[in-house]
Amino acid sequence: MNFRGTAILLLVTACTGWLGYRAGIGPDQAEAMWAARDRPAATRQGLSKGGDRASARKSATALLQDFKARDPGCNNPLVQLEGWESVRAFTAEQCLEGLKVTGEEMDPTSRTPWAGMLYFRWAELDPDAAMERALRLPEGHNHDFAQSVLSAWFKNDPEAAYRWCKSEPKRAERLSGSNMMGAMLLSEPSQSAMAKATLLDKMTRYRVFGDAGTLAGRDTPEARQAFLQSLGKYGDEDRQLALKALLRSWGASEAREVLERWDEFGYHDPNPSFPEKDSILRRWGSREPEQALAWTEEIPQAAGQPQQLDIYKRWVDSDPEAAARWLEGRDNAGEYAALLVKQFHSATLKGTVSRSATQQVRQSREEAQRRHYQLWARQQPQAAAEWLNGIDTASATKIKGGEDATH
Amino acid sequence: MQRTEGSSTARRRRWLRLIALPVLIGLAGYAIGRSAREVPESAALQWSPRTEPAAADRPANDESTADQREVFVKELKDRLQYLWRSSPDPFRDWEVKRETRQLLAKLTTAELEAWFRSSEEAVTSAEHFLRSEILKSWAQRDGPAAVTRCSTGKDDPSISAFISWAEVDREAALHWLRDVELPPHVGSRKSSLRVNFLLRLVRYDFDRVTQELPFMDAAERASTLNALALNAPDDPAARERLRKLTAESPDEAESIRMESSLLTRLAQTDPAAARARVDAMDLTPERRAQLEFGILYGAANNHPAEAYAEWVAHHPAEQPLPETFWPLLDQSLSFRTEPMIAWMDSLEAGSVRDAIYERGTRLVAAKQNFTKAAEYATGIADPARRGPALEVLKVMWSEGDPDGARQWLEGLGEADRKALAK
Repeated sequence: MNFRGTAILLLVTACTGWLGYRAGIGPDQAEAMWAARDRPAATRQGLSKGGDRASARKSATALLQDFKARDPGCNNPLVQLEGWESVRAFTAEQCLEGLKVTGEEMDPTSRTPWAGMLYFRWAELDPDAAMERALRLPEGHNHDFAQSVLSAWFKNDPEAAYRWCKSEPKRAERLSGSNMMGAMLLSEPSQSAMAKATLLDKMTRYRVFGDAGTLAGRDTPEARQAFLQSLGKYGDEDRQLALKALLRSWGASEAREVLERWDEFGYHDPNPSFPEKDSILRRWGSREPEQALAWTEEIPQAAGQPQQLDIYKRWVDSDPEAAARWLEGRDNAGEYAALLVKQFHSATLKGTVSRSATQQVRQSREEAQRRHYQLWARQQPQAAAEWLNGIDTASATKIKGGEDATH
Repeated sequence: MQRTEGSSTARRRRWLRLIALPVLIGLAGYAIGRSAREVPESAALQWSPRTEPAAADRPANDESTADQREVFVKELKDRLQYLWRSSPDPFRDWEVKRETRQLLAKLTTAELEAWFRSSEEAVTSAEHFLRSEILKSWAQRDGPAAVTRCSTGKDDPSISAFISWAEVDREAALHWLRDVELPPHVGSRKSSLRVNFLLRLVRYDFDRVTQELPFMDAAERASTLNALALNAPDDPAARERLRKLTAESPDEAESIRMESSLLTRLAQTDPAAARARVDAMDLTPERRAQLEFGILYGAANNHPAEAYAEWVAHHPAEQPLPETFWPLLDQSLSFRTEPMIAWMDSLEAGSVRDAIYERGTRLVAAKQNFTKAAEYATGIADPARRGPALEVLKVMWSEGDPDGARQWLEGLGEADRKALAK
């Protein structure tokens, strides 16, 4: 066979291979999934065509000028919602007319809810045209409006909106298309939403499995148990996402139970430097420091000293007197005090206190540091003095200041 | 004849062979595709029938029993949570905003307050957004209650509450704030409440902003004018008005502070214009220094290396660095580390460099860049600054990397080691 013949044969072979593969893989299941959803029974499209409403008779220009005059700062939600009562009956032509009044090409830093509203309404009627116009605006100006269009589009015709996202993946990503799809799925009961999400991208699954897990964490014990069991049929990543959210929201009301049963859930931290178990304990500690600390002592293998100290430190920040009462008279009070003094000192040197804290917080931290140093010095005088000797003079003077004053 | 038959069979065979390859590959492709085909769960292709929950249409009936009311409130909350969870973008979804407003209007202010308090454990983004919507609604219905009672201990959204109220009833909100005695936990925030709303108002109604000035004490008036200078619309007329308003103060220092803030604002976008303005002024060295710092403050974020270099060039060597300089250096080193290190490396020896290196030692060590920090500490000539810098570095390095610290300490000169061993 000559060269040309071989080339044609290879080309034909590649084509049939690809066609065979496409036929094998079948149609896009996600598209089928969206297509299976009922369209909204009635849009408000008919309202404007009736022409019997005041807003349909009055010109869009006059209406919007009137509303804008009543909302000069573009920040009065009541006037805007009143405006929406008219705009929601607009025709596509009225939306276009209105956009001339609202100045959609204004400085992108000044948000123009009125233009966003018109784009939202227009997208209910003709999303393709609305999207095309929004994207014709210069970059930086178009994002807000294109997002308005896409959200109305998803709401009214998710199948078409999904197809648009598929054809414009980069733009869809910038407009948070995946998050929008996730929200649409969350209109379904969790099991249905999760089954649908498995047909979509990672970001969508992130939203759906996360929210479903959060809801399950607040549900009745039976429903929660059923949800946990159902997770078995999903991939590891999705399962872990839902599990993390579930443990977190459940832990917000029943931290103790969650922490004690931790090992039976089979949860793995995606980032081992920020263990979820520690966060649940920390949040419990912020709500009920005394109970959380008591629990860490009751079950010593469950949490280490860093976690205990973390709870105690936050308690000192939020309610120094209660924290002091708790520490007083404890066998290991000196140890706690030493750790706290060292940690505050290290934070001061690194500048993590001064940058984030207000003057008031800084002062109360310094005061707490002095008080804890005194406690440490009473219980372990030698160790305390040695440590103080080893740090920089400026800090040492500050920490010692209170001690001198009391002696 | 036989030859013709034979050759046609051969041709047919050749064609069959040629066709067989694409057909086989096509079949193989199909098999691969088929095996990779996702078979969705049946639940994936079925949607629940959509029914609108009852709460939306039912009027809140004042005569209903407590139990009925409880059921009603629960249904209403469920509906709102559903709306915010399932809207593609609740902030741009005007239909959701509309229904939210209608539903929240059916709750009493006490119910709004109770819901706001119990929603503290919001986890998902939709829950956080809805929570702020509840606060807004509460503030619009009963501004004073929302502002003074929304703080939950964990967070204090009183500023958001006040802004939400003032956005819908500016006069009521501003008048209330003029002479209200706030409870202690919000008391210290009175000026913050006011200034945060005025900063929005100034974008479209400068006159109305000025009407609140007489109701402030001297300190609040001065700080408000300065905040306005840093945020007001960037136009010459507004700048001129701010200068005039400041000049009314008996304290002359206020005028220079205002000028400095205006320069900061200008230097954010046009450092050269700010520089030209200061160069054209006739000033005492002290005031010039204050204005120079205003320029640096504005330009430091966008053009750190240039801004600092120019500032040092204009700073008289014999004058100590102003206190305000240090927090700004902290900030620049934290957020613009690379250009800042390059600038610090380029500094010429002298008292200014010593002071900057002392502070820089700690800031760079906080970024775990101990070797660089050591370079700065040992680059300091003034023993009064060198000692403390070495001490701080020793503590921080030993904590972050004990082995590295030991090696560094061993390699230090005799005098430094003695100073550290004191």
